[in-house]
Amino acid sequence: MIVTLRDCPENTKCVLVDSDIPDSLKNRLMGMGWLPGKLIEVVRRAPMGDPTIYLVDSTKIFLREDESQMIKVKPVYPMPLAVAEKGVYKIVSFLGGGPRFMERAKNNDLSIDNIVEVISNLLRGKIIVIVNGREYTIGRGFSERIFVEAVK
Amino acid sequence: MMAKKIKIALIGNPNVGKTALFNALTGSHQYVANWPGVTVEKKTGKFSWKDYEVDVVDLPGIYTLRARSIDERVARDYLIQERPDVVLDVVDATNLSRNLYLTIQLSEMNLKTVLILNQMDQVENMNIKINTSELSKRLGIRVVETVATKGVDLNEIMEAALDTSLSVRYQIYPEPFEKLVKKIEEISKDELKNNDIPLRWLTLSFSEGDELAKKILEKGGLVKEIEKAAAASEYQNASLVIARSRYNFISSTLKQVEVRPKVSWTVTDALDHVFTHKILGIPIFVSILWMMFEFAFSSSSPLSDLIELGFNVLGGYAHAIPGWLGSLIGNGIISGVGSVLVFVPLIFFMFFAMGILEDTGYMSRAAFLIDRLMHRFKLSGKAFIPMILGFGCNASAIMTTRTIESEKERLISILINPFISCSARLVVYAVIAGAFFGKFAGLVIFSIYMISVVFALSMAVVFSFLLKSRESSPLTMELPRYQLPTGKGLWIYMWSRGKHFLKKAGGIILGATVLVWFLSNMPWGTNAQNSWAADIGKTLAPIFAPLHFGWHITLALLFGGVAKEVTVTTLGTFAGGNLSVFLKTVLDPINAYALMLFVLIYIPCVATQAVMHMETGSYKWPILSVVWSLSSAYVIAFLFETVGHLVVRI
Repeated sequence: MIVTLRDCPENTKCVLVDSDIPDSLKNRLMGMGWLPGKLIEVVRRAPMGDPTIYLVDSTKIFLREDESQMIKVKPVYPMPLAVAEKGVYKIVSFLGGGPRFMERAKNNDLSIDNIVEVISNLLRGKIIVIVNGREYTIGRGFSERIFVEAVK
Repeated sequence: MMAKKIKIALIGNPNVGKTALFNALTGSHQYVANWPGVTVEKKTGKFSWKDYEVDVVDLPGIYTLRARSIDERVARDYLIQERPDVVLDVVDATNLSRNLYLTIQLSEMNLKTVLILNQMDQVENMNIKINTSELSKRLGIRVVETVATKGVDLNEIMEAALDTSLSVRYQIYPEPFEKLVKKIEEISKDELKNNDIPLRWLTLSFSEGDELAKKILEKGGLVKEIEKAAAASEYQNASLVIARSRYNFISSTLKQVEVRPKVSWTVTDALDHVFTHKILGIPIFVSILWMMFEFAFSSSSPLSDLIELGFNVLGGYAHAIPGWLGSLIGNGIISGVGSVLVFVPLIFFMFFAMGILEDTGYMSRAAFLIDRLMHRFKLSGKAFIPMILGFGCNASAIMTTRTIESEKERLISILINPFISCSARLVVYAVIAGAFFGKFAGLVIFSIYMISVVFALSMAVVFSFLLKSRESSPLTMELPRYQLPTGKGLWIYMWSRGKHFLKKAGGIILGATVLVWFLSNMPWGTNAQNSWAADIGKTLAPIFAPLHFGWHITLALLFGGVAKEVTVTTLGTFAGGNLSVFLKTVLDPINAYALMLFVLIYIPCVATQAVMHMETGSYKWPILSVVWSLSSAYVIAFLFETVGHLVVRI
């Protein structure tokens, strides 16, 4: 699914698709190696949620929300459930994994190697999934920490 | 034999070490630090090598030749207008794929380029292998490896610079596009043949949508014809094609010359994990600032005490000299200038602490952490760096606003910078707080600094409302690798910034102090109460009567407008050796704090006003700044006193 860079939570890796950013910013980004097809890693969001550090070609730069909203990307696997479109996935890893997190994961039938079907993901608010034939709603923050792969 | 003159320019991405190379080449001590945008104006130097006399120009860093902010324009315009004989393209060798983009653009400008692979020590650390001779062959330019912070091999660089055996012939764009470029060159050739502008750069930049290129072609009346030619091809908007072709060329080149190990978790990543942490990041930032102050105050105080003792002894000797000379030296110079020189260690230690902050690379992280807050105050993270530097000196900090792209935001940053309390004002606070607040002096001074930041940010909101600044410029800021500051680097940093203070003490401060001494002893033989100084002070004093500032203070503030330290030296002239005892006779603690607030806010010093004029190109803004700050200082000090005296009865 094509999303904006802003939608991607920390640790997402994605490919730059194209962007309708103002020409001047676009040129600056190109000068820094941000070309369509490049792999971008979302490294870190600032304490107050904005800006965000991105890594491209071993260079870290940070951009604000306003700019990252204009940049379209395609997340690559393994990607957080938060940016997964409708479809069937396999859980490959959790980010973090404190006791409370694991407890919540268990309550939602989520464990590594389990199969999840995403029913609806509006990129904000909750995500609806089906696991083991039962429907669950998963919060956004939680979904950012579950990494999935496509099932062939 | 006549010396042969050549002109060399240093160019490259921000924060790759151009100024370090400049220092190594010319033996000068320009200020370097580890964040993008340290150099904002071109700096020139000279050196001679064999029978050559070489002019070196250090230019601000740029990512591409498409300039937007002022510092970038300085660099680009220099390359186009001055046409240096040789360009040393300094690159961060650990990050070739990005850095070479500019290299290609330089060759398109038809500039003789030598590639300087800097930071080769880092390359070794990171286990990257670069085949330099192959790189040179593929690029068609000479390549020299350096670690500029540790000195350079002049012979190697100069031989490369004078070598004419290699030449660049890139054909990196798709064939149909190259045809279009040729065609445009053909169209513009005759019209522009008197200009010295490189045609290939012009046509490529025009195709990228560059403003300057468009302007040049418009002047020649060529735009219509060129646009027609472009419309006939499939490249109306070629910026993506151009960028992609350049990167394709770079990556195919690098495949042959560079081997990088698989990236692992680096020290920088680990440090960033902590320093930019969601919860810990901001507390760490605040504690670092606090540590900076605490370090400067605590470590300088024994030295300051020693200097004070020295001046007391000297003052005793001076008073033994009979007549006016004794008075001039004792009351004027030693008591006046001495009261400022006591703080030399404090200011040097402050700069030392700031040097560590800047050299390590923490600055950009701080900008990252604080950007959201700045955004709320209608400023960007880039505006934050001039603010931090303003704690050192507002005049030089205002220069660094050149990296800010939006013109209005830059203006706002310039206007609020004087409200950031500079090191000169620190001297004033240290004297007043020392006299009135005893062991709470440190806390009182820190509170003034906090007020300074809050006031500057609030003024940013006010100014952006008045100037109708809606846009805050898009922000793309690079986070450099962390590095350990070197002793030599810190020394250069501390010295190059601190020496202004010494120069001021020996120049303008000394001059103003002697003037004050003279005025306070005229007509000759009178006591201070009836002197000319008193006349001036008393004439103006009614203005400050609501603030309960007597004529001494009024006079001190008047002369303090020249340089803030003069506030202290002027009072020192009247103090007869013991400034804090004297201050207690003319102020109470609440007045004293109000005076600190007044000194914080009232008029930028003459040097700052001059820089404001230079940077904005008009007298309007420095005048506005003077009027604005004077009236807000008055109002705030007045409010503080009124409320203060209501709450605390002294």
